[in-house]
Amino acid sequence: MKDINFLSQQNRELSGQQKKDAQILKYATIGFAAVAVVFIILFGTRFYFQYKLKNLQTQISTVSQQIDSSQELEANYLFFIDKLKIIKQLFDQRSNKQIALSYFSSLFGPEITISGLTYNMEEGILSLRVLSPHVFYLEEAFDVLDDSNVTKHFVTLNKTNLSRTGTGEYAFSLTVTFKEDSDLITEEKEY
Amino acid sequence: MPLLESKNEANLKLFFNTRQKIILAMALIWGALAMIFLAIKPQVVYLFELNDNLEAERQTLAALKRKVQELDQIEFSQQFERKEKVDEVLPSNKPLLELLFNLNQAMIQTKASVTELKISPGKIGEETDKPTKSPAKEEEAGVRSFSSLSMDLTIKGEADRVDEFIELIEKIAPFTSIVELKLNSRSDPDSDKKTATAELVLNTYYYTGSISTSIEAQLPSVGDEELRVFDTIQKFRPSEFEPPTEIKESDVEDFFGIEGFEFNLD
Repeated sequence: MKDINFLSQQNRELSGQQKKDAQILKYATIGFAAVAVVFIILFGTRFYFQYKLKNLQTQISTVSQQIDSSQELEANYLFFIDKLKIIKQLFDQRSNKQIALSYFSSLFGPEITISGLTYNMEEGILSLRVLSPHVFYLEEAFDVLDDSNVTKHFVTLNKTNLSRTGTGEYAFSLTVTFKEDSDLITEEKEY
Repeated sequence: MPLLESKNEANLKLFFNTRQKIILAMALIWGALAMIFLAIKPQVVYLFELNDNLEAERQTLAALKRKVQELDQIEFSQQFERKEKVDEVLPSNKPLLELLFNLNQAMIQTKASVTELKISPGKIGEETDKPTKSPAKEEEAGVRSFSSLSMDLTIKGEADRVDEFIELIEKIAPFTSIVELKLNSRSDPDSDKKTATAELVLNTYYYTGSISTSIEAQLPSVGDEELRVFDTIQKFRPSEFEPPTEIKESDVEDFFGIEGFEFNLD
């Protein structure tokens, strides 16, 4: 009598399916293991970063305390620098007056004298009172002041209040404001 | 039991018995996906944040260490060692006594004599440079951190002496500038000498600023120009003024007690 296996076709199909299942399980296991490894690595990195951050914060705290203990030194230094900057600023403001005085003294020559000045340091406006012994020197002074080589240094250069004094001298007021980019200022500093 | 229900149950049992591996594989895939979205992704985001924090803290630490080094160097800086000269040139209090004392020194040196002196000092003796510790902020534009003390002065003497005095007055400490000058000179008929009278308005400057800083704020550096300024003020006439530390006597007419000057209170 011949045996007839009615399930052989079904068993073959099932066996093929189980082989595929085993392969899928293999890949799934590998994938899961990889994801788990990545997770463990990330978790480890997190702890490492947290440890480093804490370490850094401790160092920052120590160094901050060190700086805090030098607070007085730091304050003194900051005042020192700030004062130096202000002194430089004062020098710059004052130098315009000194530069203008020596410039006009040499420009006018020995006969003409500068007998007074008023200087607004903040605005940089300088008024000079100029005395000339007679009218010829006065004319020479006016000619010199109108020269473009002189006027190029100033934003304003005004001659006002011309008068004759009791002693026969001629006096006038000269008000000037330097140009910021004037060669005279940039070349002749007090420091 | 109905036939259909028992058939489904049988099929399910058959599936569980024969397809265990695919069930396990699906569980692993779901587990992996859950791990990626619920654990790994937030972890990665958190790690990036941590890394940013670390970088920021590293930079802070580096800046602080630099500052400590700078502070150590400051202590041995040649300029800072002579900072008293800067305080002398731009004091932190109204420098009335210092100015009067140094004016007298200039008078002695030049042999010019002060015939009239007017000054309205207001409140004196206020220290101005008290440090404040708060987050660093930009200085408000237009706020000056210095002020000036104005003084009217009339000097007489030989023209050369008066010129010398005028030149010297801008080289004394505290920082003083002539803002007004009227000069009258005439020849003395009895001798060949030329005498001069100068009416001066002097502005003497003092520091009124305050400093705000923070732990992280870097120290400012000294520029070349500031260094040249520092060298220039070293040539200023040294002051021998010793600020009084005790009341010597009471019931006095002259509150200032500066040698060379007598003051009347109007």
